[in-house]
Amino acid sequence: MIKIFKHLSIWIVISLVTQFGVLYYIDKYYLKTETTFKIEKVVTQVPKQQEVSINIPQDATKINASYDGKFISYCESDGLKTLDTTNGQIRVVTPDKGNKILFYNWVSDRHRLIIAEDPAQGSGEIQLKSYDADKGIKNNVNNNITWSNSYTTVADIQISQATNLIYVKVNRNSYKSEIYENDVMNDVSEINTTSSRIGNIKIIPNADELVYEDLYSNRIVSTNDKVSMNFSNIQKPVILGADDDNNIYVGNVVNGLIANIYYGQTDAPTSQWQSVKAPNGLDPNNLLVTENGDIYVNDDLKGQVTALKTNQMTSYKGTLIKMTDNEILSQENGKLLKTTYK
Amino acid sequence: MSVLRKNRKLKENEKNKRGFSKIKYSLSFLLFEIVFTAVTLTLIVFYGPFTNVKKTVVSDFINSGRHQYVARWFLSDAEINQLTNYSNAKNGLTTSNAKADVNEIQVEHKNDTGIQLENVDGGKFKGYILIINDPTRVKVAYTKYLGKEGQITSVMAQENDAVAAINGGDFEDEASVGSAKYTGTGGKPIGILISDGKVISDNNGNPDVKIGSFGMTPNGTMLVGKYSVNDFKAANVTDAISCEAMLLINGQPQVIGQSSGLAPRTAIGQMKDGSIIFLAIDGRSLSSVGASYEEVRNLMQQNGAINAVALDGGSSTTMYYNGNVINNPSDAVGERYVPSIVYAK
Repeated sequence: MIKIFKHLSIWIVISLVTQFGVLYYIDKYYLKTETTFKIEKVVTQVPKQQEVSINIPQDATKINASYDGKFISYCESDGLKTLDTTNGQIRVVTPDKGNKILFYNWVSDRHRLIIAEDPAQGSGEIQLKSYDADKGIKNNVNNNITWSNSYTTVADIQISQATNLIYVKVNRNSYKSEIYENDVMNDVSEINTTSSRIGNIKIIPNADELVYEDLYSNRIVSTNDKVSMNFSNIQKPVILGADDDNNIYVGNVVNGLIANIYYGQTDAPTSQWQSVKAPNGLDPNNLLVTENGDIYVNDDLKGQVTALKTNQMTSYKGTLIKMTDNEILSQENGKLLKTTYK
Repeated sequence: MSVLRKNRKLKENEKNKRGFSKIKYSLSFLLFEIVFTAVTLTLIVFYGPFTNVKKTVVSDFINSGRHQYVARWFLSDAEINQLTNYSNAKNGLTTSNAKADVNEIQVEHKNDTGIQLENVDGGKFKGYILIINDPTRVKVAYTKYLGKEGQITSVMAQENDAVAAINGGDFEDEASVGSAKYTGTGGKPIGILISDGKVISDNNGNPDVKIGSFGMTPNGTMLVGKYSVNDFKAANVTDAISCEAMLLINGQPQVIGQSSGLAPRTAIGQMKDGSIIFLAIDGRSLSSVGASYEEVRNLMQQNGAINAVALDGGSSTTMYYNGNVINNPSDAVGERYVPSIVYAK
């Protein structure tokens, strides 16, 4: 018994001595108010406003772009890359050591990616990273979103830079999805969804609110429990987008094509929402809702983008890569082309 | 033969046992150290003799806004106040009534288009300085969604054709659904905000109440001190923002009102020849923890500022130059929505 006490008191002394030592160092040296600083002048060059010809690699897949088209991102066999279209600089976005990239999405008004990673082998945790495309700096956001195993995939990441909320849609298998919310303090909570079969999800840009498709009951549900959206005349509503005035855009799908688009705020009765007719039925993949609330529809065969609300048409050359809020990105013979909307 | 073997076996068993208990011993040692240290460290920090550590930790909690209660578990409001000057600073009781003497500043570089970028290495932080030779280029801009939400510094800079910009004044934080998520959107400025001669925020409807602020006059002098909206109007000030802390007035270091630990910082100052200094210090990352107001003040002084104030810091801290954000904003999504910027055309 005495022996145990002897050991315990040595252990206590070790802990206390270390603590006092470290705290003393921090107190006296680290937290000491600095009075001299190294300042060094930087010679800056004003960037040239010259358009550079950009080539799109032939084997590039999953091409995506930042909101303004300054950066495009794509996957090649050796991983995820970003390309600065103003100077042609390519950067490889490497996952953290031992990780693979599950999914990424651009933040809607800046040159930044939010990336979901998990261990390349075995099971572990889904981790969120942010990547500053301007500087090529990757930062950790949260290492513990939820558990993951080899069947786990991330199907979507929704980000609101106004509220700093990040939603991650995790698929456990083909019929079970979960949504996790990461807030500004990096506290994670699982959203209590009305079913485990979840379709598209969309964040409302300026509110603490997410809408999702409940595929089991074919409803659109909001995480704000004061909101209840009923589309009496729509059998299968799909979420198409959201704009900066917190309107969400919903389409009714008939035979895989959208016939009408309805939009309004989630707390307004859907009978008061406005609607636009989609000519000839629309493929949901050919459609973009911008922050300003413009609905752009792409016609691949004609090489034309139409603004649905105004019927204004813009023609572009080559094949479409992506419609961004500011311009249309397309490629012709491997060259990147940018066309601004009319 | 068999006896020998038995003996050997016994010895092996004993060895295994001893090895096992060694592991057990080390494990219980580790466990004890972790638990004991976790408990005592908290107590030593909050009640021990290390004032700087205590001040920094308490200030960080108080200034986080969201986790003030943690500090209150351990210390009374009076103790917290004594350490950080929190409520005195809130009530504006700490800063002196000194004002920048406009005759001290001789604007020498009108129509000089020069801007100099400098990198700062402060040991525990990294920072960026922009020196704008012609102070008449320096203006204040504000979010076009005033009252609803802020905009990011770089977008406001681009919309105003700015060459250089820093984030501006503080704003009210509020959440749209419940308060738990702390999702302030930067749409509502606090204190005074004057842009291009227009009063955008009148200090909560008190145009005669003085508050620590800086203001720019048309001839390029920067006023620093406690001013009211009407003082600024009388002095012909076209652009002004209320600030977080007074740093330097007439070359005199100011006593820092509220201590707030180490964090990202934004500051603005003016040199004797009229040149304006923009400063942004990165924080909340391993490579740059952040700076205290005292350090920002010392840095401004070392750099030749005569008058200087600290603007909204923390995750708002952003510096924009030549089309890019050149610092590393501390939030995951990057730049924060802020109500106003200070920029140079």
